Amino acid sequence: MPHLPSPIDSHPLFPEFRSAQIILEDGSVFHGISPSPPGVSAIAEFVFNTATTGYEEVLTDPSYGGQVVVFTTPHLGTTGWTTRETESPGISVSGVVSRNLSQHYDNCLGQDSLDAVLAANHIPVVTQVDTRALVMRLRNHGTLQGVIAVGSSWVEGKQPDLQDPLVIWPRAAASEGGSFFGRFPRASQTASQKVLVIDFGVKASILRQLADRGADVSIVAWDKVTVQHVRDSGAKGVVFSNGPGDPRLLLKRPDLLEIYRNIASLFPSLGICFGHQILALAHGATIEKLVFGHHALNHPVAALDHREQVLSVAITSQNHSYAVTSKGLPEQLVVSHRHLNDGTIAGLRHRGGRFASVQYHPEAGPGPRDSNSIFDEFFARMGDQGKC
Amino acid sequence: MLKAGESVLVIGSGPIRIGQGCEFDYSCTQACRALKSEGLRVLLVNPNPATIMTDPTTADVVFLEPLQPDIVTEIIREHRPSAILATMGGQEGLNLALELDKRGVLTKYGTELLGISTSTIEIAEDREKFKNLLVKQGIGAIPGCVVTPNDMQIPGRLDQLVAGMAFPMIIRASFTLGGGGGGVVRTRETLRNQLQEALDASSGHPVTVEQSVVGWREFELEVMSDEIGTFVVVAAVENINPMGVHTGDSVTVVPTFTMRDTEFQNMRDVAKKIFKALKMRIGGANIQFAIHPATGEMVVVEMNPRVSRSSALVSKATGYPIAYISTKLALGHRLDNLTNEITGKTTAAYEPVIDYVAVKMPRFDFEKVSPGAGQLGIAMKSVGEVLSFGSSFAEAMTKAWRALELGFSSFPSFEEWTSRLPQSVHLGAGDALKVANIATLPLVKSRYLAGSSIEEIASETSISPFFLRELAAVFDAEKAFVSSCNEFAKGSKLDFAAADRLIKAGYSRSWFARVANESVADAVGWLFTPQFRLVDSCAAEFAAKTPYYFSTQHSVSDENRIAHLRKRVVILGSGPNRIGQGIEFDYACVHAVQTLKTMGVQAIMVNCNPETVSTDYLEADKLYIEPLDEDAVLDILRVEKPAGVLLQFGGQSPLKLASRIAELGAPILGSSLASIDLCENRDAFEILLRELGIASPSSHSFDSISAAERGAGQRSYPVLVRPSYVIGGQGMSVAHSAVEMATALARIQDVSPGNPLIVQEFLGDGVEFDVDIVTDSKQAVVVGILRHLDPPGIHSGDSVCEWLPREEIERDSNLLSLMATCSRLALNVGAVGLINVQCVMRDRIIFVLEANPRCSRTVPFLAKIQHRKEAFPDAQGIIGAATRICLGATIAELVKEGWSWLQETQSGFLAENDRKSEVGASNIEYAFKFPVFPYGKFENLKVGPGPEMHSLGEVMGRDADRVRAFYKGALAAGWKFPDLKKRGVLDIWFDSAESQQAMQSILSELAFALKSAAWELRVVADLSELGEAGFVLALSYLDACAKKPTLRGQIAQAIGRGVPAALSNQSAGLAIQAFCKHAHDREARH
Repeated sequence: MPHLPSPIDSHPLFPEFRSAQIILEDGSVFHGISPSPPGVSAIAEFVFNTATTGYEEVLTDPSYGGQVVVFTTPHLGTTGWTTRETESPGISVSGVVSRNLSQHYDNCLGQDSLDAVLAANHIPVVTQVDTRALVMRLRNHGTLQGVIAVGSSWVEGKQPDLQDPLVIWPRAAASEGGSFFGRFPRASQTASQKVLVIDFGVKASILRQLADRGADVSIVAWDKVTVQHVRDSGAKGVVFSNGPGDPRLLLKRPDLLEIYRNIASLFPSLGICFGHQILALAHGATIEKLVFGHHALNHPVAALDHREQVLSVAITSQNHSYAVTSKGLPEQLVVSHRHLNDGTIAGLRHRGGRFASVQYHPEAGPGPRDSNSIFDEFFARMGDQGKC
Repeated sequence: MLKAGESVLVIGSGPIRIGQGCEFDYSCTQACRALKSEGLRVLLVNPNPATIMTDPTTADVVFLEPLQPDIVTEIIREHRPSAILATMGGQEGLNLALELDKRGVLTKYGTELLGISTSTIEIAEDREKFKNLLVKQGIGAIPGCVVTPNDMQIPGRLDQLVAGMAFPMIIRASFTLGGGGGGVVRTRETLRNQLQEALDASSGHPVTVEQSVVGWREFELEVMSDEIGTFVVVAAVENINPMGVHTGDSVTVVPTFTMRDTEFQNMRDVAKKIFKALKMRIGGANIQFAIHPATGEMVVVEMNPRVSRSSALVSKATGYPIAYISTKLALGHRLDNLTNEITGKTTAAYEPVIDYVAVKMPRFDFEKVSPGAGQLGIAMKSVGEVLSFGSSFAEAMTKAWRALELGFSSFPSFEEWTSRLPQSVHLGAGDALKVANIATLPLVKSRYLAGSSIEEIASETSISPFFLRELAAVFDAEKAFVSSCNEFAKGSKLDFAAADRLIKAGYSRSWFARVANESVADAVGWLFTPQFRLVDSCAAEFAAKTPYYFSTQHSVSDENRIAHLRKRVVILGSGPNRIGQGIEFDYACVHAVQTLKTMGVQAIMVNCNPETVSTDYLEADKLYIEPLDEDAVLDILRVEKPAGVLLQFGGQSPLKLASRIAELGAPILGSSLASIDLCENRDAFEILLRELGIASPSSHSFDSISAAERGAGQRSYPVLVRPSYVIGGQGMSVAHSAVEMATALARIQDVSPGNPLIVQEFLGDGVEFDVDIVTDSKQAVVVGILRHLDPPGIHSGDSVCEWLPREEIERDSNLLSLMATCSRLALNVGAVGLINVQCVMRDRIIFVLEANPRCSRTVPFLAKIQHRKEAFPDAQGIIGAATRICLGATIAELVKEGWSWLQETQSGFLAENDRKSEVGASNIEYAFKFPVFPYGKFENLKVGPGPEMHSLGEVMGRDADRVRAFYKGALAAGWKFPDLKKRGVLDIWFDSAESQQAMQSILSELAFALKSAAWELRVVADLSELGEAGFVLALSYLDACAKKPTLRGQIAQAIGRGVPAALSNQSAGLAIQAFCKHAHDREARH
């Protein structure tokens, strides 16, 4: 049943839209207009993303689950929507905030307009927002919880329990064997190595990178995996995927952390983003929350030698609000990469060579492909294992 | 890595030309600063005096010398720089470096090229080699072939080469500037001829013929890389005009709009691959791509392995200083070790992102030189550009129109656009929308409002429907608002929703006042909420330190930090480069900024020209990139509340705002509004001259064309005909008879009581002078006199000028009285700061033509002469003095402070600092100013040098020997002297038998001088007979043109080919002696 705007909801200067507010937990309010139905449309954490391209990938990246994404790019939706470049079957974000939201687009792959897709998926949207002011608020005060309130007569909704991993990673749990991932050549004839992906909300680009290198990929949900499971799958290597939320929630499940640690000790493993944090956590590292996180396609990361001297610098795709704490890093972990802007850990390596992990997204999608070689290194490690 | 104390030679880019504007002054100046910060000694060669890079504070040793291999070799031989930086001076610098390498100069003197190897340049600049490289790397390239001069000789060879390629095709010449010599071939019939032209322009190099990708989307990447392979895309730029229009003539936008992330990353990967294949590890480049809009197919178009116009633009649009950083990289620094100056704490190893829209729009001016110049193609035609910022595409677009200085306060329709042009423009035959031309966007608006669909317009223009729809929304709102205004008059409500949309789309208050009236403008006033935002390079992810701002009507909050506790002065810049208003005024603004900074006053710069040094956000204490129109400037003044506004350094445009600024109550520093008006108001000015007993050519002003026509029969001729308010003599012409008068009047359209037509006695047989004066209203000091070598009737900006050394002035009572007259006028006008007086001396009588109470085009030239003579801190130069005086100092006070040159000039002379040490005449220096014309860019010229200015740039020739000074200036201006390495014939053309007679004796000297090089002279009867080496001697140029009007265009065409042309007795004499000097020089070397 579509909500028809009441006259009072209609914005005086944009009659076809409703006025909307973003109300953050610190009490600050930002105004905009919304094509969404009246009411409270989102209660979530607000993060900003500075990418100028790649909004489809961002919107469908399961790691953004439970978050409202504030896009800083001046016009959002200009290339329309194509299912060819999505990272998961659905839209992951809880809401979208933009400066200007395009109702039309131009790109040869465009199938539909972004605003139509967001409306069809009931994603709350606020546009004509002074995103610069909103970003400065988030930058100065850190990530904030907030609501998107559309129209004049919104009511307070029920806040979801953000402490429950099952709320945060629902899509991940449902992903095993899902039709979306079935599109990838999981057992092509050229597939040489079986790879198991532990799914916390995996992006399709990771699966593409694996499949492109000839891997026969299978996926297991984060809470279903066991060492035996990996053995049975015949996997030569394991990928700990990206995913949304606070990895520290898993401290409540030491059983799972132990399983992860054992898997990483038995099989060449690669951790990506959330997976990187999980592997660090499983090996005794601590995790800290960043002030406003890294959500961008332009962040510099340095690869380091054993003396922490810079070997090379890559521009990386990043999306995380947490990082592994440098101070008190367990002896068995070595910092392989650092973020150049704030010096946070961007990559780890187990001293025994069991796993390597990166805080950023070597699979790109969206973003620069400078770090695709992380997958080559992973495959090399799997190959070495085979030779032993 | 070079060690501190070693020296580096920076090669500049020479005069301002089409395709080579002030952007290279910006890049070279940044490069010099980067080099100096490493403790290196900077040598710099560039004959363009109106540049900051040639200031003694920018480089350590400046050579204002022609960019000729021989001359630069000499500099290298003498000064032995450890390295040469050739990637900052545009194509000119790169070509020169290649030539030096080819001659073995680099090896011989053990000097290295910084940041690039000649083999990389060879491949990147040679289309065939570059294409082979692409194909080898599996990168999409445009199908095409290469044609050598030899191929043209073999029958059937051409057909064989282009077999399988479809028309239209594109010809691209090699090693030329701004795409010169190229063109679109539409049919097989014209292929051969067009190829031959391109081969000629490429001087023997092969040219490329490619299948046309006209209509594809065009994108550019600005990329940088360092020695450990860190690779960043500083920005991706989208061209709104499709492929087929030179990117310099396209409206471009950052960020991109129609490119998906996968497409962008594919481009990024290809760019990296090209770098690798070229073994180009260090430095910056610009790579152009084309994408087929329907299939997404991507091809690489070309690559420039150097900083470019685009890199200057991108630096300003994002806040990432490409030239500075790439110089640092060339010296061996790494991106990750350099700091992002904007944030002050993050690294330079990142890719800037922006949360606003930046639009670059070209400024055209040559439609009046060549009727065909209205059409656009792959050869660049624009003369300048503006940059504008907004929170939406529409806001940035409209602000760009406002910034163009054509009087727009909205997005113009075709009708509005043409009404702003001084004369009609030919946009090509048939449907003007289908042909890329300078009016495409206004035509889009008119066509849309006339009912064409977006789809139709998109298919005719190949402009992305995305941009068209964004614009259509603005046009719709405009239509809705205008119709609500009509209803408003009948008592209905105004359409505030539409007004809000227009305001957010950059429409100014002036537009509302103009389209309706003041009360409507007041009624929508509440919707204007200008807020200022920082250009921060990172979409606010990090705090920005640099005070670099733009305004937007979209924001609810503001980041503008007003320095309330400091004294603040706003300097208004000169806007886009155009004929008559170019880099000279930017030079002046930058010096004013520097002076204010030494005074501890906060210098706040307002400008919209992205090419310039003044818009380097590290130059002024605070920078606003905004249109220089009333609305934007007043918005800034309202928030800054400065102690004053400096108008006199930005050329003519800031003066237009004087009355509005005064109304607002902001103090105008320097000449008062009354003084400005006195000079601009012809009648008042003439009354003043009469009171002072100063002669002026008799003149009449007419409120209408018909009034002027009525008196034409009885008038005595010749006369000069011109509208009263013009820059660069637009619409001016000389009439020798009533018939010519009628022709002249037919060309002038915009005459009204507010802008009367002036008909003035023409002093064709006098000598014209430019006199620049610094005054505090009590004392006036002449800072320099330039004598025109060309006759009055040739615009002062287009005349070859000679600087008069003090010794010559002292000897000549006429010149002394000229100085006294001009000084007296300056004081009586009440000017404060700089004032320029133009006068003609005829039969020892001084006629004053006009006075401009502002910095003139000639001041930077004079400042350069002064720099040579005086060893004083930079801020104490001419502009420094004027700035101090504008802020209240008197000349007497400055003298007390030790500004010795002002004291010595109290007697009326520009003094030398160490006068006592100068003995005799050996220290006399001569200097000539040569204009540089763009005629070579245009075909079928109907006009040539005359009362309307055509040159864009200038060069200086300077030497202790007067003829050599002239020779150097001529060389730097592009005069082609005979290549004496081979034998040949110099074809000389005279405009009359009398002219030939007058030059006979010195011509025989020249014949003798050339003989030893086995060259002979031949006098030809017709300009069309001029061979490869030619020489035009039009001693009675104006009379000759009056007799034969087609002559102007023919001479212009010859000048465009680099044929030396002397248009008066004086310059003819010097020119012939320069030819002799050229011949002797060659002898001396052998």
